[in-house]
Amino acid sequence: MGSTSTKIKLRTSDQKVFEVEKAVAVQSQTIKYIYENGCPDSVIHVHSVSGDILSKILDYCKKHVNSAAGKEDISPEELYEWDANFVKVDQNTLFDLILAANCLKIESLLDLTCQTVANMIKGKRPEEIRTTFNIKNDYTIEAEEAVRRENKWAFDMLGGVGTMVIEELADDTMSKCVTNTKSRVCVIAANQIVMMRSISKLANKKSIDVYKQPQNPTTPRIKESVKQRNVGTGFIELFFHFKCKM
Amino acid sequence: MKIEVSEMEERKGKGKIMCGTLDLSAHPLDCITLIISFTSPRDACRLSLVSTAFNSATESDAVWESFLPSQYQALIPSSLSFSSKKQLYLSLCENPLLIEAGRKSFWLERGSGKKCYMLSPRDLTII
Repeated sequence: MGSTSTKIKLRTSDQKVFEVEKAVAVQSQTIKYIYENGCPDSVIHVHSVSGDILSKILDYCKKHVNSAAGKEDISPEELYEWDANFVKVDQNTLFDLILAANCLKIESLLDLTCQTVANMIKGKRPEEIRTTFNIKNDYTIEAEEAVRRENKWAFDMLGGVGTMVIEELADDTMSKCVTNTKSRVCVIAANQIVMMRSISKLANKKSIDVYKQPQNPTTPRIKESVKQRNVGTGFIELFFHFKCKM
Repeated sequence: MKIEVSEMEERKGKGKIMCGTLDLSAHPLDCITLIISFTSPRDACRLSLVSTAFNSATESDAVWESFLPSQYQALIPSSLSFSSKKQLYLSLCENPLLIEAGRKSFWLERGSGKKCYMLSPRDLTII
């Protein structure tokens, strides 16, 4: 009862049975608890998870167990990429994975899947989030205004003097921000201010190519182009495209 | 002897499985909280405008607790009390605190929750 080739049987909600190595199955804290507190020869019923989802989850667990145990020659970067590809699935599958990872208590998978959804939310406006996830807006106009006023600071992307901080200015960086036309945009990279523009000047142009030559030769040379479009109610959306040469 | 995972689920109060989109009623609150905590304070406030259900999720203490720095309790004077963790967070952003016997001033950057310090002259040494 401790040998690594011990197998555990799992039965899913659609009556599929999976036989997996104990080391893989106990990545799930839930299964681990049940296995250690019950009869080791019986089949564990995973009622809330379907065969397809469990199959994917077991792939994940196996990959991570093998890489940690050194059975597979895979670098941390390659594992990270494997994880990134693992979550490239449709929304239904992604949410099923979240629920299953939560139920089976597989912390790293739960973090990975939740982070993926978080990335789909970050930086988006409420209308965009509703479209992405097909959510109905059930606010009345007055209620929506009240909540917007309460959280006004979150919508003033740049406030008075805006600061859009680009922390890693690699070649070919794209950044997007929503701002009002009264703001200025100040781009700071590596603690140096590399660009300051008044939005009202930008607002009249469709796109601008500006090449900034810094005084200090070690700072990056930035060629930036800005595209803007009106998104209504006094806000414009700016796409900054940086081409950077060190 | 059959052992069932469903008993554990009931104990955890898990919701039912539902395919589809980010339907808050179908997902356990701790999942939603985890997802929101992976975004940023700014995103969390924007999320409250998506729907009334999202508003309750984003206002929850669990979400704002995750945005606060660890050991934040040590920083707040015990004389102050707040109605929610979100209020506490916003207060830490808007009202810098003097710490370390007045040698440093501390606040949080509102959009990201990052810690900001300002050093008093007494804390600086001239080499």
